[in-house]
Amino acid sequence: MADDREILREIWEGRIPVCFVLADAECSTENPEPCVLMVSRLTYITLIAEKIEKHFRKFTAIDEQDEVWFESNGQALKWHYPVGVLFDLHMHDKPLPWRVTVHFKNFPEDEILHCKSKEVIEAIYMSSVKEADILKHRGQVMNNLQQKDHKQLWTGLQSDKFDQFWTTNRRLMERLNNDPFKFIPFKIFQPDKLHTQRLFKPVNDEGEPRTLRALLKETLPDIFADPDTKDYKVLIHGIETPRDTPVQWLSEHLSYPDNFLHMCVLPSQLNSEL
Amino acid sequence: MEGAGEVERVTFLTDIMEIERLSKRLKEGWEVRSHTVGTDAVPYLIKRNVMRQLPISLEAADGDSHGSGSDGSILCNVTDSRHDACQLEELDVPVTGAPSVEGHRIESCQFEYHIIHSASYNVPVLYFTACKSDGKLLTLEEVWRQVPGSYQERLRHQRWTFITQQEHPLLGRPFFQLHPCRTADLMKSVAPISKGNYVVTWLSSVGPVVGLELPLAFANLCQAR
Repeated sequence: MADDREILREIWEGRIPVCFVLADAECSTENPEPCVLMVSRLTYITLIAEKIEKHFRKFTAIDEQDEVWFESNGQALKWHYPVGVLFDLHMHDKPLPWRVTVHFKNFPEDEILHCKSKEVIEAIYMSSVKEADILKHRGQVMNNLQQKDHKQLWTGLQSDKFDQFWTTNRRLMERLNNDPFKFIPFKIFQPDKLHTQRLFKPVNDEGEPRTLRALLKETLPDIFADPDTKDYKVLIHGIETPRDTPVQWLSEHLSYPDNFLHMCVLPSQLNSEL
Repeated sequence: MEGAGEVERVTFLTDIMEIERLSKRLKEGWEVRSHTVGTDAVPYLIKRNVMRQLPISLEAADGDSHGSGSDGSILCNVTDSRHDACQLEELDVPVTGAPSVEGHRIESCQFEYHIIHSASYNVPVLYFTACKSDGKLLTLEEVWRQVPGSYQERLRHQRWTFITQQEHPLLGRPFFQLHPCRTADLMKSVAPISKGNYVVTWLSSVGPVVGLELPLAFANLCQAR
């Protein structure tokens, strides 16, 4: 069970300074002020969209059918990935604050999911928690949670209330009958690629814990033929994680609120090339 | 290990190839595709260019989809689209863009269906995308509205765990998804001891929700092998 509260706290408090700027083509006045916010790594960018929309209302004409979307380095941001994942993927090691362009026109509906209400975010979030529990406990914990527990998770995340969130989340992170998770819910992200997701058991046939090293080698054999290669970095919450860490521990402590362990694999040379 | 109501990826592959073979004979348009993810080739089943005549709310076209959230009011005007289309044809009225009463017009919508095996749930998952004659995607509200009357009660209570937009796991683009979380339970009750084609059995029970009907000839595949 996740009992290292300090670690959970640290992760919860991760923030990224983001400078939101209005897309040039959409400004109806000169020099609209940017909107600078400290954004939680664990949230979804569309959860703070209301605030941003309010800020830019006086600098642009927003129609009823307009839908806000965000862009970084020319790419539409997939808002259904947590902010921390988007940042690590697009901006790791680059100068802060993170500059994100805000659009209200020409929503790229072929690239990103629509998000017309917070219910959409909640649905995406809950389906992810559910899938994670299928992987960890064959869905047994979710089956025993009530509607009010679901709400508590979601409200805890939405209103940034650590205690409220963890009251329910610790049940989802428990080992049933002291068994390790059946599979580790994880996704690996790489720049300009689809994310990778596989079934991976946290222990081997002898019951010994398996490490991040084993997971990388099995999931991305082309990159991690040598699982200790220094050519690539593996980031979780922006932190380069030691590869001999047991994946069960990572899953319990470093999973995002959607109960998935989101990892970014980046070439180490990325920045010197730029 | 296969839990009750689940299907292993290997069996899934056999099933979809069987569907493709029969479909070729029947000219039903199903085909097996393969998409490479990392070092794996992931096979899946698709059917493209399915045209459906659907009533599209004129209001929604004006961008008002916010108000149709929690009270279920959008679900009131559900009609059987095929029936509608037939009637219109009989009346010799052009179907596309035909004005109609109750703030709706009938539009030709193009659907594409993808069936992908989910490793997490160990069941097939139905993804689909649909666009209107102007090339715009159907909105989630429009997709909910086309669900036949018999499923509307469930939709009213569980819309957010029934059909929503999700990222296509192989293409990375937005698709609509029929949620897989109850598939195993459904299949346990539908075909507890069936040794036939799992995907056909499953698809005949969930397909109609989104306008997908398998011809009766496919039922033969459901008999014990």
